[in-house]
Amino acid sequence: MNTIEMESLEIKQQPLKVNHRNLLIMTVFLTVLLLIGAFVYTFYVLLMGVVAVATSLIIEFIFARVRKLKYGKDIYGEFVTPLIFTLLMPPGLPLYMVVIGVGFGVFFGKSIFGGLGRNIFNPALVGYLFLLVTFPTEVSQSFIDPGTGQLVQSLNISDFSFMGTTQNLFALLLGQYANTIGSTVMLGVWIVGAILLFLKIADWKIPLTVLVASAVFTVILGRFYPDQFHDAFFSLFLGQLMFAAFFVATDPVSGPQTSRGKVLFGIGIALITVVIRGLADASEGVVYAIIIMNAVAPMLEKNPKEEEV
Amino acid sequence: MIEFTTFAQLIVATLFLNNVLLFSFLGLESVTTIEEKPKNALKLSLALLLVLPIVSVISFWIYHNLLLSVSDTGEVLADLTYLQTFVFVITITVVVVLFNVLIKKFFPKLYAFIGQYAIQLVSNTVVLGVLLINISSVDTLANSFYFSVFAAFGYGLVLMILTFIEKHLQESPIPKGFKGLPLQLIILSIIALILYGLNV
Repeated sequence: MNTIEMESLEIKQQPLKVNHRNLLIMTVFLTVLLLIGAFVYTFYVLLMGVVAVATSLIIEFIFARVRKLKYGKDIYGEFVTPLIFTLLMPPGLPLYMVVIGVGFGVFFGKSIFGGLGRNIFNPALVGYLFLLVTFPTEVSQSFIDPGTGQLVQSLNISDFSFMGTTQNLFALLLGQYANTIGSTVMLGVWIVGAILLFLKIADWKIPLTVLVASAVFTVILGRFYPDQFHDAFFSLFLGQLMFAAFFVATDPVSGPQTSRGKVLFGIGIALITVVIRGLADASEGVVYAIIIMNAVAPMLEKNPKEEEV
Repeated sequence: MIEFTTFAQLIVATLFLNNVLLFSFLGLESVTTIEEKPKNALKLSLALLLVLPIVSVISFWIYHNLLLSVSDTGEVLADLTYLQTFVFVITITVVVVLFNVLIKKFFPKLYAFIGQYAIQLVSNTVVLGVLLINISSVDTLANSFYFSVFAAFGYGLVLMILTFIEKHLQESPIPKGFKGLPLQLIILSIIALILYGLNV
């Protein structure tokens, strides 16, 4: 197939799941979250975001050049992935790791699958996962305490001694505990996430199912293993669960399209997250949960009748 | 009897953490023969699920009773294990061909569904690979049976996921150089990365 044929093929397939207005609004919202992160931590966080975006743009540019395609058509989509990636990272991560993570994610998660709107796995999560496997200690130990600026471990689901008081809940909402950049100020995640749902940029079904189902699973499993699964309500505010439910899981491209698929998708994410949090010693289950469900998502969409091929 | 926790560990380890397709690279050649169709993947997996436990148990018995004879005190009386590959390949061939003949005679409908893929198992590396893993890391006959069942399940699961993804990607403008096998391997490697990350 020559280049002209390829291009005409792409024009025919273009109107698929990609909405440029939504991508632009999403970019703005994610930038707001990044600015909140920069306010809580230092301007280094902002630098991480800029480096991530630059890496993404450069890789897409080179890829478009090599394939001799027109560059700039999907320019907004190239901001969302690196911004989500940065918001999933701990605030003290070295810059070269940001470059490696975004580079791997954008190239192997998005470009190879045919660019924006075609990816199976969420590219930001592919990069995150690669980084987590390659530099496990750096990724899990680059958390910074917002108050003192010291390197600390982030709060884990097992550190539940602080739980149970409203005061601590407010501290958590206002970002006084170490966490990843995006999830530190939980209140910000809530407000921006609510606007996102209100504007119908993200489907409300997925975040709702994820949060409700993970609370339910925590309660059920807590009956049998009280040592591993603690307070169901507080567990929703820890780690990246809230941020991922609102901003990562709702990605319209890598998730299923049908309502039934979306509910199953959310329940699957919740179950895997809760199980990983309780039983495995992986640092954060929700990332694995979403990317596993991304792989299974094409299966969830199909009605059994449609499978006759 | 196996305890429940060890049994659960065996299931999780065989299905996910030591998945034969993702971490031992067995059976990769079948990825190309199923032609991106989930139904074909189902046929192949079903055939494997029916054949593998039989072959596995037979070859395990042969290895521990005919090839390697050990006295009660643990003394090795006779060691013919250098013949293992040869004997296993013959076992696989005999069992697969017999299996085909028998289901053709007694279950014609099943044969019509999986026959095309059942005969391919003679040359599928999953079968021989699982037998070799069996004798090196499994201790009892029952465990070799369970191991082969869940290995077949894990193989089928990954194959199904892969074919559904491929079907989903059918109309994507994938770069020419990455179409087909390269992209299949990249998808498999990302799935392997997920499971490897959980293992770390």
